[in-house]
Amino acid sequence: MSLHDHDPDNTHIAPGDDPLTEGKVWEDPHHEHDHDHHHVIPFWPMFNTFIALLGLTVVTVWASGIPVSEFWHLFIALFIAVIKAALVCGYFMHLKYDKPLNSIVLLSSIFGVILFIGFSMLDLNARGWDDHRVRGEIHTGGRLELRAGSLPPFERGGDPRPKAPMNIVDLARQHAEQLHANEHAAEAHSEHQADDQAESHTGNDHSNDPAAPDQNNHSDPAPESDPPA
Amino acid sequence: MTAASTNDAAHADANLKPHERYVHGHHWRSAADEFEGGKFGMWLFLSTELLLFSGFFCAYFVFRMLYPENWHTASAYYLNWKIGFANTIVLLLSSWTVVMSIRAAQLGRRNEILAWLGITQLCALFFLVVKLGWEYWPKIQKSELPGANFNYAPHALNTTPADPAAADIIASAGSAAITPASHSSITLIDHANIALANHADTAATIIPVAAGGGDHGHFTPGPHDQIFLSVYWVATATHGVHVLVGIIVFALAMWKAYKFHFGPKNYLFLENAGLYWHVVDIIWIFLFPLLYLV
Repeated sequence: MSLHDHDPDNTHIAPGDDPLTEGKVWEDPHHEHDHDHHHVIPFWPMFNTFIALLGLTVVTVWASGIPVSEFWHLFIALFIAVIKAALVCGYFMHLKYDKPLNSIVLLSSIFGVILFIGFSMLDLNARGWDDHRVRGEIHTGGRLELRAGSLPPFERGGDPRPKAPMNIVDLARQHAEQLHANEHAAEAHSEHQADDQAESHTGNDHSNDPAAPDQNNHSDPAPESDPPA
Repeated sequence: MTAASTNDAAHADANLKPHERYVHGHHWRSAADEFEGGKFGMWLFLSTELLLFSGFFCAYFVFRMLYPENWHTASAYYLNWKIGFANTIVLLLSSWTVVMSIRAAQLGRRNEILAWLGITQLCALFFLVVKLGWEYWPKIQKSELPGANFNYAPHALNTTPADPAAADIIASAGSAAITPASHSSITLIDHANIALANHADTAATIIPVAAGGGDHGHFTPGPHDQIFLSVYWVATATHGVHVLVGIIVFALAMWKAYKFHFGPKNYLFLENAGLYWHVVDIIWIFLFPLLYLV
């Protein structure tokens, strides 16, 4: 146990003196093998990072109000959040000053996160089978008759199953746009109707409503009870 | 063992502060190795924390893609971005003060450690008080809860329908939903929406009087708000528990600092507490825009 005989902190053993440490760099070169002087966190880079994080927070709030599509709102918000997270990791968690091992751990974890979320997104985007719509909702999980095996199974080279015209994500998006349009139409209609009522008190006239979304007129209120055909 | 006797001698010296008496564990080559090894272990733990929260983010994106029609409006209706903004600022500030407390430890300034950690604690408490008092409690009162407890009948019933038929529709839907025979997965608002959708001209006349926590009162509640709120509750509550744990950890750190346990050579506990706190901060950096803004 020659290592610990003289100095428990191993401070006075030069790399060449110790057969175990010879040829290996155990210490951060900035430490110069002096344990009394850890790297001291500098003040100004940390303060500047803090100010930058505050600024980016304001930017992300501002950016949520600019008139772009939902996709770009999401993209901008995530982009700014990634920059902020990188600043926190690099400076506050001093990965910038650390040995690369901790960064490798972080990056492998982020790789896992990307696999996790990315493959879920891929899966969702690949689900083109189901254009089932019940009660104005997207009914996921495939067609019941396909699950029951009443249709011929998947064959290599030829796909006998009927394809929906689009995947369920696009379908949902289209549905949302339609609902949005319907809402606007219904708003305009109800204002018009309110004016009518104020003038003549004719009551409710449901007969000629152009805003009624036809997909909501589904008669079956409990789709979960559908028997698998 | 000479080393052991050296340790004993150092421990026996009552004139020294705890951090001056400190010797690294005998299974470590040096104090630096002990420090780096302990920090590495913390990083491994933090990588699992990221994976834990990535599940919530995955749920967020999947449900957002499946139900885009009122995801954004649900966010604006139920959440007030100003509250989230204030909490973001406070968490960023606390992250910086943690960094400064570690700097104070590296410089051997014990009182500064206590001061910076005190500010951190105040920020964390502010975060939790705002979260519980201004977000969770009003939501609990309005039954804007996840799962089967979700029910925003008070909103629908406190409306001022221009069309009296709409009030009847909502009332009948409500009574249908609370009968035991009704399907458990169909909530009151589902009934109300089905009923209103079948009389679509009245749907637009529902104007919520008491808007949700959000400042965009003109958004009306929709049938998929329940999913948004479930994601909101699970993600923010898990994050809130992490904040609570952080408060406990920093209370311990303050006690250790008070007892002179942190010195330029020995501040591993503080370092790891800081790393943990920064990850809590990073999670919130992603939660804030996704839940409150976009």
